[in-house]
Amino acid sequence: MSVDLSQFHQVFFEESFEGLDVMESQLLEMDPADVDDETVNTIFRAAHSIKGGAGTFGFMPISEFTHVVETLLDEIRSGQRVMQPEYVDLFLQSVDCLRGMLSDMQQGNEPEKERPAQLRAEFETILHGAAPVAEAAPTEEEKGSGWLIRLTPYPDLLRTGNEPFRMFRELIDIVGEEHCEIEADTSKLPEFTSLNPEECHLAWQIRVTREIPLADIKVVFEWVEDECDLVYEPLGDVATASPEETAPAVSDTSDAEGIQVPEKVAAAIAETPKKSAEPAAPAKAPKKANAESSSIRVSIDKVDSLINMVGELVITQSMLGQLGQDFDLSRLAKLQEGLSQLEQNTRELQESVMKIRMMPISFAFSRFPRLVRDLGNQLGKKVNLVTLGEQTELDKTVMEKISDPLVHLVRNSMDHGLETTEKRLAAGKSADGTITLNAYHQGGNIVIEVADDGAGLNEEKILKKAMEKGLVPESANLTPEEIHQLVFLPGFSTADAVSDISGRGVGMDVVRRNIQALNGSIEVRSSRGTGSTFIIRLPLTLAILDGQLVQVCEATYIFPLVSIVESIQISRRSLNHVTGSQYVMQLRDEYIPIVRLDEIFGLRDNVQDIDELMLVVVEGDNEKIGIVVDDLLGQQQVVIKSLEQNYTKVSGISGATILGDGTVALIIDISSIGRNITPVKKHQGKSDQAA
Amino acid sequence: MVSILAVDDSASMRQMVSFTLKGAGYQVREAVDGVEALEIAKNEKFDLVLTDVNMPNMNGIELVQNLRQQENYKFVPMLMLTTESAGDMKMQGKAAGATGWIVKPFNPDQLLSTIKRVLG
Amino acid sequence: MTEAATIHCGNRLSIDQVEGLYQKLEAAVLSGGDLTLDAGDVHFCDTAGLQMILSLRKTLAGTGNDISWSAVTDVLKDTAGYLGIRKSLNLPE
Repeated sequence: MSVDLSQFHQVFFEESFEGLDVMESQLLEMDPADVDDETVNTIFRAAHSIKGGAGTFGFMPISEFTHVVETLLDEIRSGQRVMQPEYVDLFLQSVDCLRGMLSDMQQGNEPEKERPAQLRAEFETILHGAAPVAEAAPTEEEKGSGWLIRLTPYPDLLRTGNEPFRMFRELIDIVGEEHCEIEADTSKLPEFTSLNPEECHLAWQIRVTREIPLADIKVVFEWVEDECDLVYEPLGDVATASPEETAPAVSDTSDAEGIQVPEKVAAAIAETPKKSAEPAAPAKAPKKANAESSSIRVSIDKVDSLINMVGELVITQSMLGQLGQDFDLSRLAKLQEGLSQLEQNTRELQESVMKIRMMPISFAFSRFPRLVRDLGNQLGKKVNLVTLGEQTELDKTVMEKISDPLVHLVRNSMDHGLETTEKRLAAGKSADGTITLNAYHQGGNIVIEVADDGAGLNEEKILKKAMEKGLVPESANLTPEEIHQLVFLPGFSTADAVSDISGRGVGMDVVRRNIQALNGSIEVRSSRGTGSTFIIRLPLTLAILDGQLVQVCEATYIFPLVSIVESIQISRRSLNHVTGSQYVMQLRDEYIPIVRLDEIFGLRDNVQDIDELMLVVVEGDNEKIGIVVDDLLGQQQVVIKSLEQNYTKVSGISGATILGDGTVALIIDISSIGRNITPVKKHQGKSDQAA
Repeated sequence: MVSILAVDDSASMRQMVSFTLKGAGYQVREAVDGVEALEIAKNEKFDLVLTDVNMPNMNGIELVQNLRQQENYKFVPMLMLTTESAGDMKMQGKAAGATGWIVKPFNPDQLLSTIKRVLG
Repeated sequence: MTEAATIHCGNRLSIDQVEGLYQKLEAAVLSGGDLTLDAGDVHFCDTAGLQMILSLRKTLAGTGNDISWSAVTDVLKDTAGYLGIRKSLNLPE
């Protein structure tokens, strides 16, 4: 039977990556001075599984490399060796190395060789500086013209499922029935009345009359070696040996017995199992492109609940179907009831389907212990990482996209937020800084906080910098809260020198933009001397949007609710003309550009001049803009359909949805609308207010 | 139909074992660790138990020990899936009541030929 | 000599069933005489099961009695063949 092992590769890779994550997090949590058994066991098990799977599925470089890792772990776990800090480092490097090798092989490439070889050498230096000795090569290379096997089971041999007739059957398969003579010795068999029928009192003498390596025979009896007396003699000596041989009591001298075996065991074993004979064939290039076909693991509970709901949906559907067959008004109530049932089913089903994509945020948090540790070493700061709310769930896609911004925030907090140890001690704080990652649900959003207990934002410095860069007018009088938000402005960076850590050409403005792209928001709270907290709010999923429906001419558009600052009714007179058709409006002490959707989308032939305008003030890319609409309709959750996939990308539109009445409504892409307007200097033109 | 309980915390190994056995006409139930296996075995009788050694919650040795104490599983063959490097694991397994072991890595053919030593 | 008693061997003549069969056979042995075994339903047997029959035959021989088979399945014959005890069990060809 041939089984195509490549079908299991994807699962193998996924679980191996997970195993590496487990190893890493356990290693990071571990205090080498006080190692608990379960931690080492967990790490060992992960390495062990990777090695076993790699061997089975033919990824030999991985299995060989993991072998040395596992060996050292095994020695620690069995108490032969004590965990050392340098072992932890070596293990961590091995985790990285294995990750690299696995992803190389997942993409069908040869894994790199140099790094594993270096690390292996280090392991082998630790493990007595010697290459692992190939375990006792088979010594019995004797072949002889055959073998006499004397098998005398101990009474308990049968109790654990071993069965002589099956072993003999296997032996016959290996050597061929014409070369195998089996003779039973019944002399030790007790009288019936004193027999314990579960014990074995028979013994056997088997002659293999063919040249064959002893190892091939021994494998048949490997499981019972310790449960019987087992003697192998080369057949040449047999004639002279065996003096103690006694004639069987119930005589059974016919050698022919073994030969008459009528039933040939089909599917003969043919070749005996040789150690890892063939899986060595290197992973034959798996289907490309698919290399990172992503999948999610879904707990059975979630699937079960889905099945349940589909079941209910089917019941409702058949009920409605029946109702529709001969419907009259007397059954209206029944119909309404059915429809509300249907609505409920649909909503529950939608929620359950969404839940399938939900994963605990621990997947995103899990990379931080390592990052914080490495970065702490690099910066010379001792940092404790605290993670809270790790079981908080969010959409897998959102999680993937929020990962990089989070890394940036943590780097930023460690680099700029936390003070050096000396400064901390001088300020009467603990020497170790603390970074806290916290996640929780609030309303329909997930909130993720990155907090540090550092010095807090330096308002004077920020304000000075912002003024220097012309981001804020010299005269501006800002509250501390307003100053804090300045760090998100494009082109802002307070780092005195661009450091290796956070100065990667990516500022907070990019972080903010990435978060806004997810329909989320970010803000910062800070308090001098005690630290700052960045607070990210994200929708639970990208598939559904909380939207504000607006009407412009005949069409309905949807604004993401998160980006709406306020909706106001204004009179034309409060608009100021800037250039061409560009208007601005003074909203409290800010000037905001005004755009007309009917104009942008060419909905009206001539833009009428209306006196009273409905204005929706939105914020995108850190710029407020006012969008003129005809009317505000309701607010509702909408399911986002991709315009790109179903039609083509349209500037100013991020997607579409289908409303309850079946019409299509377009979802406004606030950022791109904002970018398309002629930039207006925000604090310009206090003078041309009159217009 | 011959039924087999396959226990392994590694999904890829479990799938490979289960796929191979099903392809050979066996009926297979899967369990992710000793605890789950024990629970399944309480309500169902199997002709063979194949179990990994290193698993969380309850390892293969404890599983075999526990099963052997049950009247239903007194004589049922139980094989440990183990690695060569774990020599004393084999002995521990035997002491716990395992019938034998299969050394990892193994390929599907090796698996099928080996389990014939305890089935049929 | 009493007439041979017939014992039905069930469908499994194996270690998980020997306990029960042993009691049936023991009663028959104690009442003396030849024994006829009906193994026509045996679809699985093993060392423990066949060894018990061997021991039974050995004990009956002490009183000049023997066993005979009223029905035997191929499975039983094959297994006895592997174990090298077909003749010792007085099995038909």
